[in-house]
Amino acid sequence: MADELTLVPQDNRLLAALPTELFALMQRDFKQISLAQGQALYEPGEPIDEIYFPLSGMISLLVIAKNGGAIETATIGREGAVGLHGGVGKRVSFTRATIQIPGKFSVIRAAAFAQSVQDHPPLRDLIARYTEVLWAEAQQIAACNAIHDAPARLCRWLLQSADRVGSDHLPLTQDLIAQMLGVRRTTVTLLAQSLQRQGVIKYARGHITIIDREHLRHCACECYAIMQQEKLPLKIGVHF
Amino acid sequence: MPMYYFHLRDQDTIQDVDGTELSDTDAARAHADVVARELKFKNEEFLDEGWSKWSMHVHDDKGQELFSFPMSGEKSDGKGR
Repeated sequence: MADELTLVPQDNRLLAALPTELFALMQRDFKQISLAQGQALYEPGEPIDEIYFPLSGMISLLVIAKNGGAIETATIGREGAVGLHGGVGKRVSFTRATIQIPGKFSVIRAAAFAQSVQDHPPLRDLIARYTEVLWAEAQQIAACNAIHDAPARLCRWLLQSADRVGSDHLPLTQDLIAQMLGVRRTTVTLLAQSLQRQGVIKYARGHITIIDREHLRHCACECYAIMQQEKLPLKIGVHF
Repeated sequence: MPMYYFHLRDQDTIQDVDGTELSDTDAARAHADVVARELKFKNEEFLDEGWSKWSMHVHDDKGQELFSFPMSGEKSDGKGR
């Protein structure tokens, strides 16, 4: 991970994609904050008041089942943002959004963002392009959850999370991972131990470090390669 | 509720270091069946020869083995589900 102190808004791909003059205009509306693991940003049905651009952490979007269970439907890191639709009008969150991996985030109030969007067409265009990417990802994840086995999904998820935060060191408990993948914690514990035995990851309570990225790629389902954040936008003709 | 541990063994052991709190041995059988099913994979890159030579050994919190079954089979004994 980049040194936390040197993180700048442009470490987020979407903010980096904005024309320099436009970003300069908006800069006073952004604040940089640290958010802790487990912190909830939105609940389903709640208004989107603030928009979050990760610089180093990762946000999970979760669909909440009636029995209280939650399953992850998307993860967002420095390649994206959460709540962008708050920029095109008053919007309500469909999912729960929580901090999965703590880190630094650039935050802007939805009202201020909406004002900028109204004044600057490139911002509206950015929202549209990013929405296309998220939609493609959501389709891939729906398919992945339905057809791929837990070991392949675990490997995909570890690689994807590492890309999201820009670090091979992931502060994650197997409890969280199990919830994200919709499997028993025992399953994640045994799979993680097995990967550790083969020297692919290093695993201690609450921390996973990727040692052999290449091997992990071989073990992951094809969804990792398809959704790789540098490649997916280009695949559907979107440029940032 | 008591703790149960779900270890995997061939010549080697993959330890379930954390264990799971469950109501009784029947619940542990059901849990073992689900975990055995979730562990299955198609991609041999994950583990040479898959789990075929492995078996699951379920222990109580005193380290006493309660039951075991080969991972090549489908279930502990069918009671779980």
